[in-house]
This record gives sequence, structure tokens and C-alpha cells, in this order.
Amino acid sequence: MNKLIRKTKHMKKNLLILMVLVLGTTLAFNACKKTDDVPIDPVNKDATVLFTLNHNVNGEQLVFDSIQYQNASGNDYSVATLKYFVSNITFHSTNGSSFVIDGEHYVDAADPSTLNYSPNVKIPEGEYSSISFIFGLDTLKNKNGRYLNPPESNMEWPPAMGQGYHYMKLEGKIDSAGTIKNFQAHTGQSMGNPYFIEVDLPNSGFTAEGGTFEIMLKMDIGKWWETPNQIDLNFMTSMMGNQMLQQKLHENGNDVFSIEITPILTITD
Amino acid sequence: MKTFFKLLLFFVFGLLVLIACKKDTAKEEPSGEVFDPTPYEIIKPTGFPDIIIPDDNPMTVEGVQLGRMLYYDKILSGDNTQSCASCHAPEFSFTDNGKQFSEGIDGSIGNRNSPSVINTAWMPSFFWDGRAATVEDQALGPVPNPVEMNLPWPEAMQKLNAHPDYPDLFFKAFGTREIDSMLVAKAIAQFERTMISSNSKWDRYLRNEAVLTQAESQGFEIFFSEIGDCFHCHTTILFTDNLFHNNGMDAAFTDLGLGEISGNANDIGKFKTPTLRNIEFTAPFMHDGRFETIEDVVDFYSEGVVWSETIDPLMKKVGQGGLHLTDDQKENLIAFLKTLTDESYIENPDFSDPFEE
Repeated sequence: MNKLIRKTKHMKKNLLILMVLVLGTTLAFNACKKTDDVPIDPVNKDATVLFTLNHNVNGEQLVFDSIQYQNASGNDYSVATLKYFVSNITFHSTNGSSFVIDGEHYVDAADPSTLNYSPNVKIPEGEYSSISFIFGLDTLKNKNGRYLNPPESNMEWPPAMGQGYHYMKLEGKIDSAGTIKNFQAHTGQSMGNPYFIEVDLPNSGFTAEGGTFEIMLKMDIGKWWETPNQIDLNFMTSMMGNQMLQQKLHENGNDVFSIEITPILTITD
Repeated sequence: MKTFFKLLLFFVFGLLVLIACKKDTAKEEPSGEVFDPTPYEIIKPTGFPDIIIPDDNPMTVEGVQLGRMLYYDKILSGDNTQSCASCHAPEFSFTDNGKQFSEGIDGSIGNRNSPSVINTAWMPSFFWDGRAATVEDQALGPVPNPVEMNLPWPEAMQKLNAHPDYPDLFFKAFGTREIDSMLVAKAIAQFERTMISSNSKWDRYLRNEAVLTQAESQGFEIFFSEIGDCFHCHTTILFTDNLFHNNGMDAAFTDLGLGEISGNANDIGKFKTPTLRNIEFTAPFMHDGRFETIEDVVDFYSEGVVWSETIDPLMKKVGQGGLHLTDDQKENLIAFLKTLTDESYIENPDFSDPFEE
């Protein structure tokens, strides 16, 4: 009897060791495994937003390097380069508060990998009357040395002429009565004037009730040369230090963007 | 006894955790020799971009040293007369001895000027037309090129595999004695990624260790403003955007540059922006080495720019034939460009010929 009890005790001990071993081994192998499964919270009604960038000229999808566009000044022109920053996309709530995505995104219209922007934040549940953003970089972000890596670093704006980075490089050619000329619309902080643009998007009401939304920001390049200031591209050159041209583009920039919001996934509970 | 048993258990589990987490790098040969290379850490200078090392070619001390030997070894040419260093020589900041075009082993002449091997760790493309995307790809080019080292890779492999030292050196660097062209390219790439120039007067000025002269600082303002407008292409601390531009040298092109590679008519006449670091040592200039001096280059941008269909929109003054700088402006600009000279780079013993030590 005594022996039997001892044997049972022994077995118990062996079983315990076995359990510890199994548990330990499992732990050991899990110790290196990355876990990135996010539990789904059915009550959370925050919305995920994916921004896409789209570029057109007078409503026609942008085609590079072809002198096929016209503006009110009678310029026949092409677009060779379009690179710019959007930042601080802001959702304005109907209750008066606002939600800012504190970050920036670099866009090169010729590089498809830059045409999507998926900030790692969720838009809090609620009703939003409008969306706005900063075209370029605000004074806090537009500091030398913010970007060490290309392509953003290649947007450098020389300290001698202001500081920080080009907000936009929009370049191309003009057919000026048979003579082809170059133009460069380069915007940025110039001679102490910040010139970034707070763009209020029309028809941008948005309800965050869970789900994922694609928000397309559409730039109509043609509108840079229209209202309120009509611009002749023959003079759009060597303009980085030209306060009059910087100011004109600053004023024209508020209506170059429009927006399209499309739900791409709705969570049903 | 119980305590000992518990301790043993802990030890075993601890070991298990370690084994589960450790990457298996050490490798044993049948001879009992172990492949266990020492990682090489590149120190990125302050203000420079991040260095991206390809996953399939991690930097090791053994790899860098092997790459340095291969870079200087004439074994990689058809008649044992040329190495990479023949056309990329240290005293000319790793260019070809002031020559417009390089001569291959049989005297044939290329059609592009030998570019400087400098700060390659940050280059997203190689050759004047960008046809190679990595240093590894670039290194594969000149050895078999008939107008360069003219040694087909299969023959190069035979020579290296029959060499008394190289199989052991490749084992130490890559864990195999079977040498192939990719491993040669990887070793050379590892060496070239260590070749960093960040100690010019300009760098020291940025670190508050040097003061610019009046001429240099006026040249700096020309360079970094729309007067000279050099900075749009020769941008950032690397003094290149590493992109491709037609800078207005010709009205028509026989060498199509990027256009040859991309097949896009809009790319005809575009060539990769070279860095301006160490240009005091790298004459002649441009993809075809047409300008003998820095003065010639500045004169070109000032008075010699010509129109062609693909000319870069950044060439703002092409209608006037160029920037029209005054003689003083030219002199000051050149004074500034010479602040990019880094003698410590070309004299760095780590980049010198290991066979001459």
C-alpha cells in the first residue's frame, strides 16, 4: 500500500515534469513568434481611411510630357514633373471639434507607389461636416533636416531662400508661338513667408460608423493657373524668390483639389 | 536533489528558448573549419541618408576585405593587366586618370567617362544610363565587357577557383569554396559600400569645424539659389538627386542615355546626375568627358546651353543660352565647388591597394 502510494506520487511527479516540459517547449517556441493579430472589437465604430491621389488637367487624366493642355492665358503646355506634400489632414466634426492626422505624405504623380496614403490612425466615430488639409508643410514641419532620405530629401529648399522643403515642384513646357519654353511652379517658404495652403475640401461631409473608406484627393492641375489669379506660364520661371508669384499660387491653391469618398468595406454586426 | 532537478529543468528550458531564437549562421565544413564571419557595421555620417544593405548581402569584415582584394586584383581581366582600380583609381577619386574614355585590355575605347566610385552606398542606380539597380549588378558589368576587362565570367570563375588563396577567402566571407560571379559581385559591392566621403571642407563647415572664405560663401549662395540653380539636381548632402536629366549639352543625341534603356522617347539624352563631391580630382566631366576643367563646365552652364526636345524643365535660362554668370560669380562658384574636395577619402588606407601594403 505504502509502495503503491509512493508509486502514484512518483507518477504524479513524472506527469508534472512532462506537463512543465510541454508547456516550456511551447513557450520557448512562441517566444520568438511575432503576434500581430488585432482582436476585432464589434462595438468600436471608428473608421479606417485610405487616401489615394489622383491628377488631372481640366478634368482629363494627366498624361506626362505631351503639350496638349491649354489655360485661360492661351498657353499650350505639358506637365513633366509633379511632386508635392500633403499634410495634417483634418476631419471637422459637426460638434465643433476636429481630428487631425498629424503627419505628411509625399506624392510623385509619376510614381504609383506614392499615390496611396494609409495613415496608421482611425477616425473616431462621429459626424464630420468637412475635411481639410495642408498643401505643403506647416511651419512646425517645414524645418531643415526633417527628411534625410530620398525622395523627400530631394525636395530641399535652400536655406539661403527660406528653409525646409519645396511644397510642390510642378514643371513642364509651353509652346509659346512656336518657341518651346520651360516653366517651373515651385512653391515653398520664401523670404520668411510660409505660403503653405490650408485647403478646405468642398462636399467633404463624412460619417465615421466603423468600416473602411477610400478618400480620393483629386488635383486639377489646370486650376493652379485660374482663380482668383490668372497666370501666364511664360512668366512662371525662376519664381522661388518671387513673392508675387508665390502669393498668387498660394491664393489659387485652395480650389485645385476635390474629393471623392467611397466605402470599400462595411462591417455588419 | 530536488533543487538540482529544478535547476536542470530551468537550464534546459533556457537553452530551448535560446536555440529557438538564434539564427543559424555558423556553418561547419567537412574539414571541421567553421564559417563564422564577423559582421561589419557601416557608420553613417551625421546628416546622411540611411544606408540600405540588401538582405542577401550582409556586410562582413571578411566580405569587405575580399572585395577590396578583388577590386585591385588584375586576375579579373582577360590578360591580367587590369583591375577595377585601373579605371577607378584612388588618386583620381576613383576615376580614370584624367582620361575622357577608358581603354579596355585590347586598347578598345569606351564611349562614357569613368564615374567616381564614391558614396555608392546611397546610389539607387548605376552607370550613366542607370542600367544597373545595385552595386552588385554594376560590378557584374565591366569584367566580361569586351571593351573593358574582357574576361567572360566562366573563365573568371576558373581562374579564381584555381587560385591558391581565393577559395579559402570566399569560404571565410560566404561559407563556400565554390566561387561564382554573384559572390564576386557581392564582395566588391560590400567593399564599395564602405567607401564613404564625408570629410570635405563643406562637411567640416556643416559640423562647425571650418569657416568658408568670402569667395566660397558667395559661391555657396550662387549654388543654392536660382542664380546658379545647381541645387535642384545636385541636391542634398550627397550633391546629387540620383535622377536623370537632359542638361542641354546637345541639340541632337547619338548616345541616347536613359532613353536607350527605358525605350521611352521622353528619356532621350537624359543622364544620371553625378555627385559633385571630389570633382577637383575627377576631370574630365559629363557622361562623355567632353569638358576638361571645372571652368569649362561652369562656362557651359553660363553660356553654352542648347535646346533639345527632352531638355529638363529645370534648365530655366535655355532661351538665353544659359545663366550668364559674371567672371566673379564663376570664380566664387568654383571656389565653393572645391570645398567639396575630400583628400582623406582618396588617401584612406582602408580603400587602398592591398597588394601594395
